[in-house]
Amino acid sequence: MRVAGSWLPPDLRGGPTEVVRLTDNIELERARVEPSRLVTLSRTLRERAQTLRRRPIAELVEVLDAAAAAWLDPSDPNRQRALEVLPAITGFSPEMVALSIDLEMRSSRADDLWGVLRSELGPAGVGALDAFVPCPHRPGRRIRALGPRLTGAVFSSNIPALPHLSVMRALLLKSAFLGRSASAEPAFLPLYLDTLHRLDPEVAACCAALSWDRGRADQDGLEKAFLNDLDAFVGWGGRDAERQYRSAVPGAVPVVFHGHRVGFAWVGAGVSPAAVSDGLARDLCIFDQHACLSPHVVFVEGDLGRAQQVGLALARSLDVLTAELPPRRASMGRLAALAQHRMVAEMDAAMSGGAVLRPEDGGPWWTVVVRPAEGLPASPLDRWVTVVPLKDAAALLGRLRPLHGLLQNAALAVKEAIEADALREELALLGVSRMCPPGAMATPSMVWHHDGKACVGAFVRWADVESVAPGEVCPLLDRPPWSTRGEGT
Amino acid sequence: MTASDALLDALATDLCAAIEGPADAWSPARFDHLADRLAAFQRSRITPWQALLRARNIADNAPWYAILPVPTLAFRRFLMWAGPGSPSHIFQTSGTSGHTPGRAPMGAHGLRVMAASIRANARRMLLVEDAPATRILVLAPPPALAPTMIMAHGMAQLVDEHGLPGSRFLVGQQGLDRAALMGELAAASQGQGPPLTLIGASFGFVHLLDGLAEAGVCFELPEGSRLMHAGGFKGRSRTVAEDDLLKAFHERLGLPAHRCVNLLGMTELASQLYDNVLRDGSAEPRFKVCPPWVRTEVVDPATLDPVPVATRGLLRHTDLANLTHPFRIQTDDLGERLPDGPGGEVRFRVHGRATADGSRGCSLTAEGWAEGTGG
Repeated sequence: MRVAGSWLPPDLRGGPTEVVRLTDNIELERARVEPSRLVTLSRTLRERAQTLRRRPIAELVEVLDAAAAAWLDPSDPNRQRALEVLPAITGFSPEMVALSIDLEMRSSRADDLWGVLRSELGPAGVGALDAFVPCPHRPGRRIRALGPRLTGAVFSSNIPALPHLSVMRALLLKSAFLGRSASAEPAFLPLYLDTLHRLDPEVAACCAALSWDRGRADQDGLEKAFLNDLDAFVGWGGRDAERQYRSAVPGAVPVVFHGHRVGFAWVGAGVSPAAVSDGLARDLCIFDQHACLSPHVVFVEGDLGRAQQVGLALARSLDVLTAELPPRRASMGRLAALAQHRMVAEMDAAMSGGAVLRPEDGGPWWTVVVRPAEGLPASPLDRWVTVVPLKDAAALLGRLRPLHGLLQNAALAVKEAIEADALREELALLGVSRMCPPGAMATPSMVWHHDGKACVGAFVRWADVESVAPGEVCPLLDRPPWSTRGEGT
Repeated sequence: MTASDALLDALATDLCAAIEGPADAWSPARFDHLADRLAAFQRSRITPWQALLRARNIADNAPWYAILPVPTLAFRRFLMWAGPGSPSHIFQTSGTSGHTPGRAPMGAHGLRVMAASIRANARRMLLVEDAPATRILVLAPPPALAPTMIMAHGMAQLVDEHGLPGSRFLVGQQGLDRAALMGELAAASQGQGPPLTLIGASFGFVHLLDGLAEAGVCFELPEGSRLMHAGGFKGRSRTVAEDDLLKAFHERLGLPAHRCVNLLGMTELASQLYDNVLRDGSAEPRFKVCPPWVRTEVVDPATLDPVPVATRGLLRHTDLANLTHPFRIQTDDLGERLPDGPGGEVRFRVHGRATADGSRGCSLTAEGWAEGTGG
């Protein structure tokens, strides 16, 4: 099977292409990138941001909404192509890829797009994307919101159908977009840009997706060419990638990096295991735990016996959900790692009175470890969770404290509303950026402050006109400031 | 002497006698008998292992092959020690940054059995002459500089027991003594002095070959010379295909492929697994050979059940020379079994590490030294 590994506007496709082998049965056909070509492409896209500036924001929202609607349509050719190739490339099951596309695109509709703009720019700021508009907070003041001319993004491969989020965020600020796909999943982004092209060629003409292999002899030159003409940079990846890009991106360019973060769940006293187990199983199974939102640990208020009840209920739910939503096709390496971790977990659990629960056939499809444990025991992923008993919420906060900066998402199942509010306040102070009930961990809205940040607002540059009201005087000059215009210059 | 000490003493004596005795004295029944004794001794004394076996309902008197192996990861999590007392040596895996190293504890009895294994195996596979016949030069640090490195310990034994005068370690505190090495290679190539046995980590040799290529130097080591490199071909800075390395050994050192032996060694294993080529006098086919006291199986990574010959899976070793740390080890190395050789000799090939998270073991450390000295 041959898959497109790049997407360029039609008038920029004249250059050389290459075909590389991605897996045993998938070949990737893509634009062959050289540093000089990348420089030309960046500059061209940057120039084209002017055409986006002339488009009202409502039109851009409409195009993005139409793209999401297209991807939600089962007969859409790009969706069908993604369902064909993404399971083969990523190992995610076809059911998971379909669910992932549905979840991501459902939260990419017009309401969500307007919601994120209003949330991060303020109601008046949305109009300021098109022209100077009155500022409601001060009479006589007018504001204008300007996005970057060119946003560059590098992607990771952990979640299928996620890269379009960065495209949408760029276009919402009328920014051109240049993306480098993850080498392990280069297929989705070109398909998404093709959808935009079908719906609005002028918008798509401001976007491009590329991929190239690491370790090329001209890697440094490529990187420099990629980063040099950007006005904003978005990165997705692990710690090494974050370190590398933070030092490589030119200092004046604002950076938003979506790095490693973890999720967890808290099951408070008095909450029935049966009431949370289906939701927690869903949180573990969606994206096979590869999202930064996914839980690694379920903390249970109570003793080991209660943790075991939660573990058993969760195991039953995982069994059912795994049949509906099959797990990733694990490589030999993943299977080897899971086997190693599972045996060590069995040793740990057996020595602490805990247990390791696994599918009846002993397979690696999911693993629930129930045991007392220090800290937040990291999961080797692929539906692997540790259920840890804790005395109370204070004990939970105590062990989360050292993880400040790494905590992303908390599923809270708490009986008393007052208690929940207090806990939410503390968790927010510890850097948790999203709290939700069990079952909703993997389905944030687009309006969510991703990583606790305003990911659209972060790249806005504001221009303000501050007029002086008639009769208002300048304190130092004791007269209206405009009366000095032209004097002494 | 306590009953436990007496049991350990008797087991060590019997294992040493069997390992150093004639290979053809080994039969499946003999292996089973010693393995069952070892299992009975170890499983009750290594608490985490016992906990795992009980959790899996494996009977206390189960035969050795029914006992679940210990994963290599467990050597990072627990001190897997059967006692008695405290270990006198703890060998460590080099580990990767941010990870606790794996630890293989040993005491006097364990070291005695390991020494027997190293000796007997080297005589069969590398230093096959009845008396020392080569000068052994080691491209690795001596035990004094790397006290937790099991490879250094084993190589020191080869130098002591099999090396002609002048045998020595060539890595010191300042890194590799390139001048001394070049001098030795040049002298040997000109017929001055005995044949050489060069031993070291694979990556040490990669850097040596790079240096020779850069300088445009080729040596022609005399007949009887040989080379043994331990560890993998995969490293942080470069990946070197086995064929390329063998070609370079021939071009730069004058050593034909059948005189160049790779060794699979692990901190967790007291025994090493050598290539067959030097013993067999032929470069093809090349495979790893289990000595009679080691059995290597290949298992399915999902089920951990053994897979048929010629099927890829994870390597699992049963090493009777692991006296006081677990003798059944589940690795995350990929490999495949070949049909057994004469006398039931177990043969297999290694295909790298399944979890491929960078270079491993001694190779990484060796590369670190090379970097420190400008390679």
